[in-house]
Amino acid sequence: MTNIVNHFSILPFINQNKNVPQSEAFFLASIQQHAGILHKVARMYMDQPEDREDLHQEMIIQLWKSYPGFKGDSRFSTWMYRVAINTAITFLRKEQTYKKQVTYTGIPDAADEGPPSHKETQLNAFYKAAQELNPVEKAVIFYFMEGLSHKEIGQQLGISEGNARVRLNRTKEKLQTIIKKQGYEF
Amino acid sequence: MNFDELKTQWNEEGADDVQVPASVEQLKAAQHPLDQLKKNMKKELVVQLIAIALIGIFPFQMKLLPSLFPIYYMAYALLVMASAYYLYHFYQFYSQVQQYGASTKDSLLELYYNLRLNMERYKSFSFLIMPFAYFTGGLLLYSELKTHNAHLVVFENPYLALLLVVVVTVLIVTFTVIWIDRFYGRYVKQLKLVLDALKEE
Repeated sequence: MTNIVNHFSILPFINQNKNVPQSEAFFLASIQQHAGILHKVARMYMDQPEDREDLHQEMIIQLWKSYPGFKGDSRFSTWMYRVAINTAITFLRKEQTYKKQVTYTGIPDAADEGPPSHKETQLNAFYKAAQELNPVEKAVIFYFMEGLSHKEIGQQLGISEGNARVRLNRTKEKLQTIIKKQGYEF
Repeated sequence: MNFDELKTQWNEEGADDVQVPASVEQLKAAQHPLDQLKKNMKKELVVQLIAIALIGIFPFQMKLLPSLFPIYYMAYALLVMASAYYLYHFYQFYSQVQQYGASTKDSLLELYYNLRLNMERYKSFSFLIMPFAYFTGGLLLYSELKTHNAHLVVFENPYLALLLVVVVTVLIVTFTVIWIDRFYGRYVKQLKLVLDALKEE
């Protein structure tokens, strides 16, 4: 129950359906509150919308399965990062029936509804470039974008703080090179 | 590339595409490779239990000479004991609760070594069954020949009999290794790649 008590901030999100057990309602409300984590992890790890949808579902399932192990020692979001990233790293996408090459759908074609804003283009270019990183690099850059320190990134991944720092710097450089190669400059 | 600017956009991004269900029951069945693996293991466990039960009535179905029953059932008892050990451990692996709450390296290491251990258990179980299969085959053949007062040409040439055993063994071992690789291989390789990438530099 400790994990529940620590999350009064999620009270407005709680499902009022009386048929749903309270712990489940708290869990789902917490997930709803931190849905951005699922969205961003899926965008980092999957380039196709169908795969991202599958991964959202899978992360919620694995979070629910791991929920009994969440004792509330850390913040819900910190625990959620771990489970979501670990699920994404070990989740195999469905057998590709579409083109194997990266056909990242986050960047709309010119024919689509109007030109994207400068901000959208930047973020889309970032996600597109992230598809070329390996699973660990994706995790490192994800944690960095979420504002975690080197120490926290190390703790999440199970590596030393120094190693996390080195990896982050290399991954940032790699990302910049990929983005330049893809013809974006910002 | 300005990461600070990018971070601002990242923080402003919505999550409209994430559908959180109203209850956990509404979630689809897990598609995670480990859950798929567990489903396959469950099916296989049932098949193995049925197979062991059927092997128990084999002498009656195949009309084995009653005088050979004690020998057959002594070997069968050994098979049941060994199977119980292996199937118990398979079941333990199957029923282990998969939790991803630990750090990435710890979670993946545990999963990787559990899978590798299970692969080796699977192989040794399959290889353990082989002598029993040969023994049963030999016993059935002997019973059949004795009943009809006949003999087989292959027994007149020990080298030919040995060659037959070697060929069958190689085929079974190859099939087992391919089957296990198909079952776990892709997933174990993927885990190994991630673990290698996590090694301290």
